[in-house]
Amino acid sequence: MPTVRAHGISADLPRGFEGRIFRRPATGPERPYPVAHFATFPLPPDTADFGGGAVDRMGPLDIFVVLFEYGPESLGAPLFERVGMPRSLSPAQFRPYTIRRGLGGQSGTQWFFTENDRPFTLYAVLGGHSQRFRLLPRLNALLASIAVAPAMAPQRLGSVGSVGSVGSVPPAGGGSNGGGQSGNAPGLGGSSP
Amino acid sequence: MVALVTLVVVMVLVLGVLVVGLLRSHADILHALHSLGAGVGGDEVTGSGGGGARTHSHDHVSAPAPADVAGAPTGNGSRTGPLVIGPTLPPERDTSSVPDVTGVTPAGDAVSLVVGGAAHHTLLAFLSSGCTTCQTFWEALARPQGVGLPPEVRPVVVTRGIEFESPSDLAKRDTGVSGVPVVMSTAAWDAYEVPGSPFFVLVDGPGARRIGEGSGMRMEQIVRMVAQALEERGANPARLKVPSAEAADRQRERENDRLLLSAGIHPGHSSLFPASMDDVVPGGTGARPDGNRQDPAPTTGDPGPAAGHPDPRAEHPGPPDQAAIGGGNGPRRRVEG
Repeated sequence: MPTVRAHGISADLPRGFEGRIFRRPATGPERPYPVAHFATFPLPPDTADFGGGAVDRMGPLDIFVVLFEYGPESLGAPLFERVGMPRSLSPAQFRPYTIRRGLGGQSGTQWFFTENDRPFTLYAVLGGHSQRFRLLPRLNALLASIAVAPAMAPQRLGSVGSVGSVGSVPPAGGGSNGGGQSGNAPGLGGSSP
Repeated sequence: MVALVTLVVVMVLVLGVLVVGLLRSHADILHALHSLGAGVGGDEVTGSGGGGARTHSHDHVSAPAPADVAGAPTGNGSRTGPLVIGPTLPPERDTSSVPDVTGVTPAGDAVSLVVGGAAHHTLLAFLSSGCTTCQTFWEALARPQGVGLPPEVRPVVVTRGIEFESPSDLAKRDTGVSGVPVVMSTAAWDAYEVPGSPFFVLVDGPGARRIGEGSGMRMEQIVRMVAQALEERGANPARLKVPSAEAADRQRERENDRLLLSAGIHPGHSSLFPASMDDVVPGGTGARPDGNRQDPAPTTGDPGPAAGHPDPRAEHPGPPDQAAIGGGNGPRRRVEG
């Protein structure tokens, strides 16, 4: 089972998934943070953060997942009050209108949370809404394998040398598989738990 | 008179020996180039297993003779081993495994690509930054749409890891490889038993097997190998969806970004958030050509993208919450959505 690990995020990719964990180079005064993409189809190298250039390549049996980190200034914001990434999603949490672009047949879900003092959003897209019962076991297997290391000092983030060996990533699942969710609005208010 | 005739005969003999020697030397050079896959006089194609003898020499990749192909045809007409071009490969090589390619990009990102079991076929191009022969392949793969690969084949460049390659050197090349992933992975070189660079492996994704491999001097040779392997090895139907319109849009966006950045206009630059027409037309009066006064645009007092302004790199706002996120304390670039 291939493992990708960078920028304090790691995932043991289930069969058929490919992934990329990256941080865009800074231009100007911005401060980029890590982004992770996982997909069951070939990810274009220049995929935009939330799937632009990739989701329109999905077939009905494909899955696309984004794990997008925000800056520490978002810590404590009500939007990120949920603790822990969702590890098991249900079919009812996917809505055809919870997607960035209205591509026919697709559906998505979005969650905001804080894990190990790092604010994230999780955005998942199913290529075929009608296939959600079939696709979710694969998606949940991926979510269960994702681990997020505690926040690091900013200067340690982003050096090439840190790639593939960033910190120690705790095993996924433990303690953060919050089942009962608070009222964080996933996406367009569509997929509330 | 006799002496003259004898002298002429001796000269003819000496010249004959010289000509024969030159011809032999030329033949040796051609033979050496041919065995290196230079394609002089035609390309070499053998069956799998690496131990096959040379077959034909034509202007195109020729079909391997039955004796050169390892294994009998399978039920669907395919042969069990990959088509091989270039120098003979060691027969003990494992040509059956098709592991995923996992490593880092030259930019330092972690990446893992599915190869065996994928819905598409994959052409793994094992290249190096220092190999002169590889240069032609780096250049060819910078325009993957133009090299003539079938649309269901995904090209992937694989270099050795950072213990052998310089990420900065590769990053320079990476910028020229548009749409082709570049993965640094010594493990992949080991797993595919790559004898040297350049080296190519064509994997039938749905069938999870190698159907072609070998080396060459020109991209055209590799493209011909791919076409022949797909046909002769009974490749499974594959798909690789590439929306051309989207690709063109993204290319245009990249070019716009490049021009803006080269002009010193970065995300958050004040020129991207004009408050009035005076900001758009320096020295102007703020009046429209039709004489109507342009009302100043509302200002928020916070020029950062996080404050609700559209990200200059973003065509559309991202998933619904993006504009309000980030606390407004620091600029946060998000590339499109």
